[in-house]
Amino acid sequence: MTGADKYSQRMADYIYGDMDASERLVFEKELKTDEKLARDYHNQLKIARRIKEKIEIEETIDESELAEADRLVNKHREQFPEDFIVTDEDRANHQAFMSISGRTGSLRRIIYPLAAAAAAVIVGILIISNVQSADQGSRLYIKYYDPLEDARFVKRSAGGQEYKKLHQALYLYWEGEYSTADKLLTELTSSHSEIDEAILFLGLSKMGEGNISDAVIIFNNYLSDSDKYRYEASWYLSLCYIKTGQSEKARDLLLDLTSINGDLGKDATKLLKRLDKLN
Amino acid sequence: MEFTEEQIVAGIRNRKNDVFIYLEKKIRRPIIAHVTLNRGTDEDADDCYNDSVIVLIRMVDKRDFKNTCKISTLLFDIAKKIWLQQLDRRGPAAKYKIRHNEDTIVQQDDNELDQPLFEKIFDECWKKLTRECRLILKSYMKGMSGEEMADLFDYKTSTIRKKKCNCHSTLKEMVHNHPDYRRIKRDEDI
Repeated sequence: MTGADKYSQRMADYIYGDMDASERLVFEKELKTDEKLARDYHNQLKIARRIKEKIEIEETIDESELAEADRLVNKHREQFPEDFIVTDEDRANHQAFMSISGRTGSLRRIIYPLAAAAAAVIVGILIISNVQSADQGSRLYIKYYDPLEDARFVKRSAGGQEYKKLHQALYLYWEGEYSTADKLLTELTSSHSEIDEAILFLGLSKMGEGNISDAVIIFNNYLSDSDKYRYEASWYLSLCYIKTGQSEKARDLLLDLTSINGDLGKDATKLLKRLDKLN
Repeated sequence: MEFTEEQIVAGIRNRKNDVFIYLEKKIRRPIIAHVTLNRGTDEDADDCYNDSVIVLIRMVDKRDFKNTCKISTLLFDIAKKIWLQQLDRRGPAAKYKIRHNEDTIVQQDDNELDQPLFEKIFDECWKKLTRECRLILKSYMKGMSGEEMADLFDYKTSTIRKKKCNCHSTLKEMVHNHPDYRRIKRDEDI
């Protein structure tokens, strides 16, 4: 390996986390004293960060539409530049406005003004707490949900055609192509309901698509039939329950998980604490 | 619950909370990623998201508004512009802070390439990378270990490590040799 190759290898290893602790310490010391190295690292880190961002974007946004979105926004900005100025007052008004849903309809039909005002305040408080709870559930879900990335599910792919199909579906899931993974796994589980991985990832694909209600059904059925991926299914089912405002059910599942060793146990403990704070 | 684009537009105009919650579920995460990966904190990301929703409401409320793309994509683009506005405002102050922070490992390049331009350059080069390279680099960024990737791609871990390095170098070279990148860097040197 040439000097330039070694330099590139070291840089890439550091950026992508392929160094052990002692190598990292040495590299970080060099970064503090070597300006050229630091500048180079900064430039290359931008590339790595952009990859990370791309992962998030590709999973959610139709990139073919980005150019059109950009055109629309630029056009609007040219015509109405004041729309892009957001003041603290705007933020406060927006917050208050969003707390009460449905500004039209029944509130107008109340006969007695004082009673109407009191009812509106009570309804408003109830709606605010429900919306906040749903909002907070959504926020917890967003914070704790991550697709399941674990290559051990692939190890059985050496088997027959059904495992080749499974491997293909897992690959699609990891690429963020949840709908296609869903279709493949639905076919697979209809003829091979004994493949635990297929059922688990079918539930996960539904979650990826945002189809939480189907995911709940799949995970619940799986947990009543099988023990193999009990912890993974329970974790994701608890997230589904949090998302749909069923905190008690989520709590029961998380309580079970807190006793296991490893990252899942730790995450369950943290999430349970956050859930308890909300309620 | 899924909404059609027409329902989303109507929901925004009528200030329906379930539509805003739906949008948040769909698009908050990439917006948070964009801000936090571009020099923002979690708080910045929250603020950016909320401000973007306000701007989106203003756009959609206009009588002649026509959505020729998904509202979620529109919201994402608004957020990028809001964040860029914020960065421009902070620019001089941020540079002062960085110059005076002795703990900083990474020194900001004073003539940093414009973010939208960098994204354009990157995206063009990214598409030209081989599929395997894109998958390997993405797998690293997703936090998969070398052993997990070796299983997935059916290579040895040493091979994966070497491929990662080669893919990253290839991408880096493509970006640095992109005509727009070279032109900007050349102009900075003058």
